[in-house]
Amino acid sequence: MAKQSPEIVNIGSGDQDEVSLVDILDHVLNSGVVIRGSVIISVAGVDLIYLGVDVILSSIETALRHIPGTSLNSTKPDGDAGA
Amino acid sequence: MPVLAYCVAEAACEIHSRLLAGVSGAEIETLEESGLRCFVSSYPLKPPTDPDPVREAALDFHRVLQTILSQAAIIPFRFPTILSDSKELVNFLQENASNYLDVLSRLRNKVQMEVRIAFVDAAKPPAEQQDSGASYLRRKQSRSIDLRSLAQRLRTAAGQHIDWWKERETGDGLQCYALIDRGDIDNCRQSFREVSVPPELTIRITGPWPAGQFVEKE
Repeated sequence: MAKQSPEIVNIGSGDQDEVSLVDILDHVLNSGVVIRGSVIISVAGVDLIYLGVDVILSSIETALRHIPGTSLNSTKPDGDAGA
Repeated sequence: MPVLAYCVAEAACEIHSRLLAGVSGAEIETLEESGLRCFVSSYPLKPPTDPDPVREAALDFHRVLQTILSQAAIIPFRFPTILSDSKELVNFLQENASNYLDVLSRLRNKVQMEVRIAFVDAAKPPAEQQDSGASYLRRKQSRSIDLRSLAQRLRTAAGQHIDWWKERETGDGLQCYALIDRGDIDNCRQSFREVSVPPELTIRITGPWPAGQFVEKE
């Protein structure tokens, strides 16, 4: 059974916690299956920006800050996926 | 209602997720289709309380993946993967079930360990800016050889635990991925630690992670 949290071992370098956070963020943002599709960012019911899902990462911060005023609505994915 | 997708596992695996909190505390729900079990939570999320909502959401997402990974092999979705409703996710799973079941079967008892090798001076401003093009290329080649050499020694040291090894050059070094059995995590990590690292290099060993680098067959 795998341990619940990844362990970080640094040899020859510095801050362990900071490295750990960077590793985690790198994994969740850059690794994993991508469902190709598209999203529309809307504010107060007005569609503002159309994005391919591959570029949604740059917009999520804005979206989260404005919840529930801002919503992300995805359109139908094309079913193509890659890792 | 839109859903945030976390990962896919084999439906046959016994996985406990009922008390698991997802991003922004959202309840984790499961959706089974074509032999696959997908973990999702509702979206939109509750208003964030953390001053850095993206980081916190990503860490929540990571915690969910790690909890499920501790019980079964998973194929993670990239964060954030949001679908307009469960039906879209069902359609996606139906279309990809055969491939995903094959991958999950192949990786059932496997996890991914990683070693990042970099030069200690990687963060410093590059001194080679004033070099000629030829000397820059020679220096770059020399550094690449040093990185690959250490990677080879790491691979050899943990060789008995490694099923599959991959390397990828990064801007400041070399990222190595090792596919290993779940039961070999500590032994593999210890084998890496015992390798002598030259003073000009640094290594960072992390894991276990989902075996995302080994989803694709070679």
